[in-house]
Amino acid sequence: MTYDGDTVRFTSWRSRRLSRRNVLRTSGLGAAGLTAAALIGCGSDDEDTGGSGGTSGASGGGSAGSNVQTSGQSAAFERKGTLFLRDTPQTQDFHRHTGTMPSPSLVCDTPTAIDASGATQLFLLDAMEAPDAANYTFTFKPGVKFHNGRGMTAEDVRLNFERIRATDGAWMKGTADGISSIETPDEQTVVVTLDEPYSPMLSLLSEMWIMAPESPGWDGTITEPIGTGPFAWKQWIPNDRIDLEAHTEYWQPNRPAISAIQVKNLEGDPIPALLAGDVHISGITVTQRALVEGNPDVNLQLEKATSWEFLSFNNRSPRAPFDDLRVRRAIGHALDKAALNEFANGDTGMVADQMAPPNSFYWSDQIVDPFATPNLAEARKLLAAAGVGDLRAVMPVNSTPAKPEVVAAQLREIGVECDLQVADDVTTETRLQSYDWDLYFAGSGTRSDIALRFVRMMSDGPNPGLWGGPQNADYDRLVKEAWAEVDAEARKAKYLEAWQVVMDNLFTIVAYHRAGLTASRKEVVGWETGAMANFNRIDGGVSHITLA
Amino acid sequence: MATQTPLQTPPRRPSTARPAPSTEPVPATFGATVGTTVAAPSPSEVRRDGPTAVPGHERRFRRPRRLQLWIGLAIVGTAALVGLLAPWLAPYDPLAQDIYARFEGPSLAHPLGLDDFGRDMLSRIIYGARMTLITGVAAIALALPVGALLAAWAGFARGWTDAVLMRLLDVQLAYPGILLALVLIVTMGPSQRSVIVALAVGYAPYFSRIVRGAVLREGAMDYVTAARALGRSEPMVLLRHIGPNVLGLMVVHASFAVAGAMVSEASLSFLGLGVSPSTPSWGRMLSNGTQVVYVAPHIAMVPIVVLSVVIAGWYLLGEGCREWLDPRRK
Repeated sequence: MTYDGDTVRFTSWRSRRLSRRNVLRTSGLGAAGLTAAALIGCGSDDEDTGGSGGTSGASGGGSAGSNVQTSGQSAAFERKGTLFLRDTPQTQDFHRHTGTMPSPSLVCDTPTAIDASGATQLFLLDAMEAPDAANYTFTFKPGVKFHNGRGMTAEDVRLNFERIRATDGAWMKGTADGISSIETPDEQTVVVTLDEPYSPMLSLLSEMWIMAPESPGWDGTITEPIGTGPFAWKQWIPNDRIDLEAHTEYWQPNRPAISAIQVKNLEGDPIPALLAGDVHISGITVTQRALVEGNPDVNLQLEKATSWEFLSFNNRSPRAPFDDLRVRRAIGHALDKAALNEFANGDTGMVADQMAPPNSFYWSDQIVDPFATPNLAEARKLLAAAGVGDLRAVMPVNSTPAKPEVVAAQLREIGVECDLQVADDVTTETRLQSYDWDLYFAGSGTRSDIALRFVRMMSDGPNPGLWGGPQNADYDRLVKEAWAEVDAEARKAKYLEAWQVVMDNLFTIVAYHRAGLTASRKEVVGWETGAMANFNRIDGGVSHITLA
Repeated sequence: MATQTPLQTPPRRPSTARPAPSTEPVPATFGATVGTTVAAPSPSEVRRDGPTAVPGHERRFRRPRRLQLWIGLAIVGTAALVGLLAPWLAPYDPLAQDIYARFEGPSLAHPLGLDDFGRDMLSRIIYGARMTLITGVAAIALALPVGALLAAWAGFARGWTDAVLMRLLDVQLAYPGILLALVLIVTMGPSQRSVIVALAVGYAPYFSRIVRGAVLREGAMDYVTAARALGRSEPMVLLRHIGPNVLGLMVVHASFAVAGAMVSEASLSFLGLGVSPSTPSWGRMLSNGTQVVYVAPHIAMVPIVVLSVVIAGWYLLGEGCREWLDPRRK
């Protein structure tokens, strides 16, 4: 990515080295050479040939399944094996999901992608121009094909934007709603104009899964997604599995190297399935780590981005005395973040006081955590000053009450009895939105841009219940000003000002950031976790692995 | 009288005693009508302890049955006492956590080890006795009178009232108990009170079935006919004459049902629908323990053993009561 005066110009790592013409020319020659080499029995089986391996999306046949020869790739290229993954998808309509999901990345690609370092890269996009944060010209790669064989066009992208905008609860709806016009001057170009400057646009496009409008259910709920991703969707048996097969005309040369994927819906402990080889890659908990650590058949990796967990107050309609800042501070002083982090994460978490993970770009060393260590004496003093004796706090809990139990035990030390009200996820969510509670301990996963974290605490933010639905005009204004900033440092400054509002009002108290643990079987060669939970990404993931 | 060999069946003669308690099964676990049943005495039992049994045999064979009663009583009594005296017996606060020492195995300081939150297992078992026993006993204490009153009403009124009431109870019995409990608890919100009510609603029809059968049987007895002939009112006959004769049966079944209710409470807590997560309850402890069973098996094993022993205690107590209260064994 480069920055050129007032215009942010993004070009992909590939086209930066070679012009399109050069790429096409080189690819054509490469393909011809490789074909010739294959014919004389000297073809290479190296699947990771980078940009010189062949023309993306070159025409040609080839059926899905194992040992399939792919057009535009080495004739000797073979896809081997079925990879078993674990996920619990609740929908196959990738525009409708309610949080970052790993599975869509298998079937669909996105205009941009987050690489392993957390930086935004162009993915389906070949180039992008943005003179400011409100006007974007996207140029998509030529030759990208949907799983049904049709080439992806700018019109498809426009229809995806339109569908997201028209779909209630769609993941990118907030972003799409801000679009004032979309034009498609040619087959590869999409010009998007926003109502207001919105600099997170590029990063957020990494979660916009492009699907073909002919996907069954397009007008309602998509049931059989047709994407451009490395694997074509075959079937979904809810609560059981998703079957996928390699996309033989995938635009990235010689990828994927495996012939099929089965995404298993395994609830509960994944360790037995992992040890038995029924699952190749799975997220695991810190407690489960002890069962596979040192096992030669299993590799462990930390995810490269963090989720954050926090104790929120009911901000929309707080009950006395939880509307008293002294009581909120007392609760903050009673928290033992280090113990909580030890319980939840062991050495995979970091005590924190900010929305951004420690040492990341948006983290500030200038902010001092007033609740870094527990101070029970101060907490009791504050409660006494607020005229509060023993206190009962209603605390909704979803189906995993362990961490709230730890919090409840800590608050009990200062006479705050937490009434943990356990319910299933849907009931808890409904309960949160009704704001008849006092405290809620929650977590939020990795996101492609910090904007998706800040937006949740805005007055009209999506799903604000987890943070108690704060409504603060200063916070809203500062976040919007941050979004309008093209300069990253200026944007960071605005975000930090907004965060100070959160800390001053104690809307929520950050406990820690945690990096997820991923276990993979030794047969999986080349697997590396990314900065997002996606199974596939621009510089890694399942399209880059082989099965030994 | 010549002593009889086990293979010899003594000639039966009409008994003047009341019949043996009902053979209807009592749910060993909530929603499942399996497990211990109060079976009709086998010929060999009649032979040993029936009216024809010789005094020497009676002494020899009754002692073990009384032993069941005493062992059951000892276990249940100890558990009740432990629950009652929990604040004085527990060495630590059952809610106090030591996160950095969690999963620690048994030691002198913590004889049963620490759980996955670093809480003292012994203290939680002691406090859990209170919660688990109260829930089990309260649920049955609620279910028994409700079920018995319904049954007495149906059995005494007969006709349409009986038919409608019994069919309604049949419908409820046909509904899986655990599902009924889930619906009730979700409706009322998870709490100890909800669990007690849900279990009571589930168990009441069983008591109705048992008591109705007994009331019908007793109603046909000569002593009831005699009472009626003497001009006793129907409620008086029910309360003064039939009631006392059914009471023993109810006590026996109640003790079995308490064991079943404890298992049910544990099951509901295991499913996350019991008492509040931090509240010490054996079912909740078991639920926590199974999640870390590979890492620290003692966390699951301790509540399993304690729960098993106390449930066995209730069954022994029930069996002992059955033997003790059975008029034919006297």
